[in-house]
Amino acid sequence: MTESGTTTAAPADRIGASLKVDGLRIAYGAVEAVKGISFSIEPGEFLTLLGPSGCGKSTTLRCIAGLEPASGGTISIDGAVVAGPGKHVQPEKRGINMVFQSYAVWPHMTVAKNVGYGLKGVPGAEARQRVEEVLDLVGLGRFASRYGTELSGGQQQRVALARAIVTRPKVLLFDEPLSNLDAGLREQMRFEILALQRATGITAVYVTHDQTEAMSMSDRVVLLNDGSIEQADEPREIYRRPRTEFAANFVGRANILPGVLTAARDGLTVAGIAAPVRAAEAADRSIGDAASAVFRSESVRVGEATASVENVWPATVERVSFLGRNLDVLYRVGDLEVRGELPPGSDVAVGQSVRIGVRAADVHYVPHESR
Amino acid sequence: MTLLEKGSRPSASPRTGGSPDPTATVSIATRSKARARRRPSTLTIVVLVILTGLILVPVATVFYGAFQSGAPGLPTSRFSLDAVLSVYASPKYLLSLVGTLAMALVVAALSVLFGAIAAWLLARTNVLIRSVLEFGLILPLFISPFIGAVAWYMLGAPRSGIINVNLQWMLGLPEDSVIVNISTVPGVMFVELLYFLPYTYMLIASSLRNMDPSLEEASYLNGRGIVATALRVTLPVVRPSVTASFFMIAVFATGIFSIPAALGLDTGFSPLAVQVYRKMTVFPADQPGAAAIGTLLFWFTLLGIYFYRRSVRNSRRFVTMGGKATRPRMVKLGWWRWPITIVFLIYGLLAAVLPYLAMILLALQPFPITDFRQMQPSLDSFFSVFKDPAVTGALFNTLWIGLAAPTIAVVLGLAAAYVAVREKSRLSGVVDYISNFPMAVPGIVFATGIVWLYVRTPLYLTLALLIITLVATYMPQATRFAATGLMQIDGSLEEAARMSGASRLRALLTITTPLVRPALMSSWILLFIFSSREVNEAILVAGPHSQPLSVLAWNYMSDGTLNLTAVVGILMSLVMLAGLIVARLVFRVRLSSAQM
Repeated sequence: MTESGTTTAAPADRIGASLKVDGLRIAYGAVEAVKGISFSIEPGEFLTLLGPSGCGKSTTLRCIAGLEPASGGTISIDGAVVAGPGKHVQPEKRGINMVFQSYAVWPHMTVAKNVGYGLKGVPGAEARQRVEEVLDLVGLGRFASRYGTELSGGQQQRVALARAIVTRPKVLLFDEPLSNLDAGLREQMRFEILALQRATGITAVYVTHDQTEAMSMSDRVVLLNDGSIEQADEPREIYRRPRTEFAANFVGRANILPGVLTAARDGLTVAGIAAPVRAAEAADRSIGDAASAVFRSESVRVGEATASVENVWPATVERVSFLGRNLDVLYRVGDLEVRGELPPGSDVAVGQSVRIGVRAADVHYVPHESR
Repeated sequence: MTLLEKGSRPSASPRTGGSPDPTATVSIATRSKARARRRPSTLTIVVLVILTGLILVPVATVFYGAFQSGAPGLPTSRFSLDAVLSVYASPKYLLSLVGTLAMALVVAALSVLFGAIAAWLLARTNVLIRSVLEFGLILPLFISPFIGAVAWYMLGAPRSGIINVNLQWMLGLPEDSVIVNISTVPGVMFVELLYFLPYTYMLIASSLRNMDPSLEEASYLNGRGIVATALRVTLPVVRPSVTASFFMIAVFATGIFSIPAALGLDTGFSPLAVQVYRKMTVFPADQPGAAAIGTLLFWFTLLGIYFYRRSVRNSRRFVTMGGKATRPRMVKLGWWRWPITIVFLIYGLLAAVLPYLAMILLALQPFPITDFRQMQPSLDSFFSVFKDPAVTGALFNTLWIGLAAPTIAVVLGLAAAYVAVREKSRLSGVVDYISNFPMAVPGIVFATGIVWLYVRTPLYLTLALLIITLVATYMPQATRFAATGLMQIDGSLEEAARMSGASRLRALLTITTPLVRPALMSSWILLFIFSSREVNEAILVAGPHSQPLSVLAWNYMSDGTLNLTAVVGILMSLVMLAGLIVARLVFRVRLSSAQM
């Protein structure tokens, strides 16, 4: 998308709506797919629902769209309830639009027809102009008279995007829109979608299972697991301070050592490690006594680098795998395994005895989850 | 030929190709995610009510009729066990039941055997002129089994048949010596086999086509030969479709009326379906008895359909879809190609060429003359048929039926399929089940229920009632075609329309309907052919002013005027041919084995 395109497509009246989801439940018979979740989105915000498959993220999105009935709770757009007890506003009346995982480009219509479909009631000349404008915006101006099926996956995705913004929705929903694209194109589209959303100011709700997408695009991430919210925060915060073991594991690679908190709640006694594992911040009362120490693999230091570090353990190198950008190293500390990262040129060998350490500032505690 | 037609298209995949499940008569609703929405939509309720009235009520009426003492609509008729007892406890009917079932099972077994061999040969070996042979195998589908049976009666009737009469003098045999007798149990089975074989062939061939060729390649690489691979790998993989086609043919053959009736199988043993007809029409009529026989037949066809559906469901487990488009290895037949090709050609000769030759020959005689030495080519039969005012009427009736029944069935089928595939209420499963139900009801039995239900209404004996009957009969095919079409359309295409501000109706009209249109067109053409040749139900439901060509042919045949029957038979074929040509040229719909 070009710079000039971006500016023409951002008229002042196109400002997103706020969205509020309150105690949303979605049940199919006895199975509860979404178990009472609440979150809200500010106008113009980009919010991602992140989670593994089957966590209820797509279902939640479809419920916001009105394609799926809610079993409980309310959804309101700009303060107006669109789904709630005894109320279900039809999808076409909610002032939102959606980009589907399968693109859902209608094969029996040209690109221009696809995009113009939602402009029913708009006078012909204006509709044509809006279609043209939006197609230029996504870089498909030349393809207006092609049929959807004659386009590549990435182009179809752009058609779907154009079709979703041409109606000037107050909220734009994305259901894993990039998961069918190959890696390079996916990265490019990520930036394009974000730029488009910023330019238009449409409130966006984006569903994905890809943490990179979630991290790089969102203002806020709602991490879902098994129908409940694990954590809702800014991407950095989730990465730096995951609130649960699940969050630590799902976003980035984390070491999780289970143990018991000391009386002062600033150390964690872990079986097989002599000294308690220290963290810079004391643990909150609410997480209980059984807790886990969480730290990222890139925080693990080796050898001399452990000099002024609070947590130092003797370890043996158990496995080294070359990942190109770095080495993924698995250390054994007593019965525990700790994963670390080293620069590719590092001199490590399997079986070698080393000292590894983690700064207290890089460690924090989460409640222990027994599996 | 309702019976045949009824299930005849179990495999309804539209021309758009790549259709996932040609053998599918499986419950559609169970396949889609089992999501129960609380309130069924208005559409669901409407479809359910229509289908219940169209299908379930007439079937229930058959059972009601079986427990009556007299003819339908008679004020003196009351509850009685006489009919049921006289049928269910009579050795005569029970023996006939055993005979009917035995015939059906043997015909089904032979159709499956030959159908499977033909499918394997055409799909996996280098037979000569493959496309010609394949065309020859599916050609009989476009001949009504009833017309085929009529033609075979002309050929093989014991005394007057063309074969007997002419071979007598050619071979110098004594007069009255019978060389072939088609009016026997083996004769009936032979003709049934001729016209059922294409169905088993198509079912099995489509599952062979969908099979992942690497399964066979793996067997070859593991050192197994052609025979071992065919028997130990290919056959087990297509077994569900083999089983499914066996039960499908068994059900057709149990309930078929037209073939045994047209061949005049009437001495000593006659199948139950023929007995239903006789009890309904031959003086003194015994309608409760007919209904009771109908219920007796019904239990067995229902059982057959149960097994059929079960095997079809299994077939989804085995056949891999959307695999790589590699060609399976073709087995080289060597000199065997020649005899095998000749066997295929003989089939085409027996199923299509000879019957039409016989009909054309007889249609060109002024009287039913079968002796070549006495033939007098003339167009008198054509003139006398066209002078018969009943013929013009019958031609128009056939056209009316051929246009109205498929149209209504396709629309209703689309609605039912939409409910079954897209709606998520508990009732969608019920809709799916009811729309498939007519497969389990022999046409003549269903017709009994229709007569009983409507005899006191103004609809009785009208063309409209015949159309209603046929719409009900063809619901399984209409729903199947539409459902297969719908299943190929990703739900998000409709949802995207809703998201772009379209109402449910606008999405249905602008997105769904254009996308399923190819499937609906194929469905329409197929049902056009079926309804324009229908006889199993028309024979009881049609009145003197609503009879179609098929019933007229039947009447001429009963009068013994085979030359006139032949003219009407040719006329019926021309109507069907015209339909196919219009479909091909105007609507660009092609019927080929790949889509049936």
